[in-house]
Amino acid sequence: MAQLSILTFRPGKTLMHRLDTRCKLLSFIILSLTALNAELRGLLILSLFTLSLMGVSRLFSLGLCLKLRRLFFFLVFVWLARSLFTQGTPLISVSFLTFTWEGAADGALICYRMTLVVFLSLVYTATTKPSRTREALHRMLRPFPFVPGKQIADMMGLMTRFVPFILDRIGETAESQRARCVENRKNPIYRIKSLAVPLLQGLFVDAHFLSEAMEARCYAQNQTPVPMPLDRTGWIGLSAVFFLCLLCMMP
Amino acid sequence: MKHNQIASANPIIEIRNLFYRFPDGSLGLRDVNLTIDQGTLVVIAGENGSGKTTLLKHLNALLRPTHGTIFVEGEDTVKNPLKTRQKVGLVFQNPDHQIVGETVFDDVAFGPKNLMLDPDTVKERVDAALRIVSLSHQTDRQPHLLSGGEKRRLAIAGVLAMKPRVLALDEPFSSLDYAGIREVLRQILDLHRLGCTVVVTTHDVEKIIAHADRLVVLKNGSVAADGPPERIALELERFGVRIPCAIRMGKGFESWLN
Amino acid sequence: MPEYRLKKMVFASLCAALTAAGAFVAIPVGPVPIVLQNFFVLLTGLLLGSRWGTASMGVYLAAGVLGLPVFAGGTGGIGRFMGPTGGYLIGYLPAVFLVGRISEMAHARLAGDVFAGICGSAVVYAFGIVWLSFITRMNLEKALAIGFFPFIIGDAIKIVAAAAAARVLRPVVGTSSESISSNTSSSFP
Repeated sequence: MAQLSILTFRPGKTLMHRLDTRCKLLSFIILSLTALNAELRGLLILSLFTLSLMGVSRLFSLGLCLKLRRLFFFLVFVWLARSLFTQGTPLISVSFLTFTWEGAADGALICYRMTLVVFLSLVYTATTKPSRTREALHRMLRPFPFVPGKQIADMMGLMTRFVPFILDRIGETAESQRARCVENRKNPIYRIKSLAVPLLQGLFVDAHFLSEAMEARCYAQNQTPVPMPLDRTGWIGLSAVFFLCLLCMMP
Repeated sequence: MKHNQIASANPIIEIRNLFYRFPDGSLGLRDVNLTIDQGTLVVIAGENGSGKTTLLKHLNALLRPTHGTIFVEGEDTVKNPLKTRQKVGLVFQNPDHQIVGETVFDDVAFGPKNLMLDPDTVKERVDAALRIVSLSHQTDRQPHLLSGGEKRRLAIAGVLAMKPRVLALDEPFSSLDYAGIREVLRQILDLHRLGCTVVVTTHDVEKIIAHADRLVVLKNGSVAADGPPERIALELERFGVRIPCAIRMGKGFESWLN
Repeated sequence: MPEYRLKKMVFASLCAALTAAGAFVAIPVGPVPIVLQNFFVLLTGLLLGSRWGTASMGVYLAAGVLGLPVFAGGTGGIGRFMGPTGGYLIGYLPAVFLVGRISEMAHARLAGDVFAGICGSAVVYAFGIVWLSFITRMNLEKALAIGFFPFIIGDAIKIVAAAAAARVLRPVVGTSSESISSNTSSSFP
């Protein structure tokens, strides 16, 4: 999984890495929601803030920008569509397609918001271990009755454990079939079937053994909680973010 | 001799008239009677499908007997499965199936956390267990990137952290290279020296027989032979298990550690 | 914890992981990439039923919200829900519930599974297209042209494949632990 994705944890010792996970998670949710609703002035303030966060957590790199190409493609699509399909004053007209002024402005604003949210989540995931996120989630869900926070956190953990395992297994199964000349069969349905069936069967049997092994090691809903003392920096950070967002949303 | 079927002085596991029928109706175990003494190293041998794994899963209360009873330290396993699982640590055949945690540390902590120990004790136990299997320098690594021998040792550590009285290992040497086998074997013997009762199943007795106190042979779900290894070893091939090479050539047992 | 629940929980996590892995092999055609996610959403509903299926997809989406890279192209984060394809993601939840429900009521008959798959896909696309047209201001017709028609054949194949895969996998998922563990360890080393 690590090699395949942009948004992964990068070990470090910056202020952002050390911040209490619960406060960080809440801050980023508040920031993202604000970004999705803010107007231009608010967005500019948030951009400055996000850039300084990226600076603090040492996240600027050329590789990162290159990896965001896909996002760029999405944004261009949204902007073009918005420009073409919003009613208003025509800007340019090519045969039946009409670019409207309102559409272009509106589309740009939406793209700006989405970019900001992506960068915000990038800062969060790059500075937070997935296991810490899960623990924080568990902690935050605990006060709510009838919400199985522990179970949700555990399932998320199992899920992150399974993904690299699945990818490895796909490679292994495909190779072992190539070794027995599956390439001679030209029928794609036959090939997909002969790969997918043993793969999925194997994975579910593995999962079965895993549940058995967990039982053998006394899996229980009640486990030793992870100590997560709230320190002052966390609170200061959270309240700073809160005021910043208020500032952004003020008319 | 201390390990004959005669009532023993200090039994830790007692199996009485154990029958187990699979849901498909076939008999997995038939009338197994075994008493395992505290502090012994017992090897359970047998061909594939002879019931070795099924028997081990009963020791850990993962399976319930169709008929008969199993006592661990005098307590019926069916009545208190959780307590039994803590006392008998079961290490499965394929370490890939057992890894739960994202890092080596998390994985070993899984068991003690389930026992609701306080965080300091959990950390202490994990550190101790990793030290025993010499994985202390790997705490933050991802388990699935470890080598075969390391994974197997990690699986053992995961069970050790629960401080079991009995360590039950299912085919601990399968698909390991020579160095890996020696690593795991040394680990098992160290634990045995520290006072742990060890039960090992294998179809290839050669690797551990020199250190065993007792050899039990299963065939078609029942005990076909039981006694000191030097007496049983020569009959092994009758039950579908290969006689260790050295014995065949009349040299007696030879440890894989020499 | 009863053994049966633990097993369902592990299976639900595996299905969530499969859905995430299905997103990695996304084929980027047009703004809405072809992914295997839909296939796994249907399969999850068919295998685990409404309750655990919904739990599975809920965990998958929650992981995405928290920024774990589980969505198409290896991304995550709240932003994805607000993007043009966010509707499809939200649609997974009601879809998996519906698929599970119908398949439970049909007692896992093949025709029932296929019907469940059709309903589930319809729900995913309904959510997806409404959101797509909302976020891009396209009218419904154009949204259908971009977000639905190119995928009809692909989804028909996915529905049939999911129903077929469910037939093969149900014996592994549904049976009690003993019957698998009897001696599969030798056939699945």
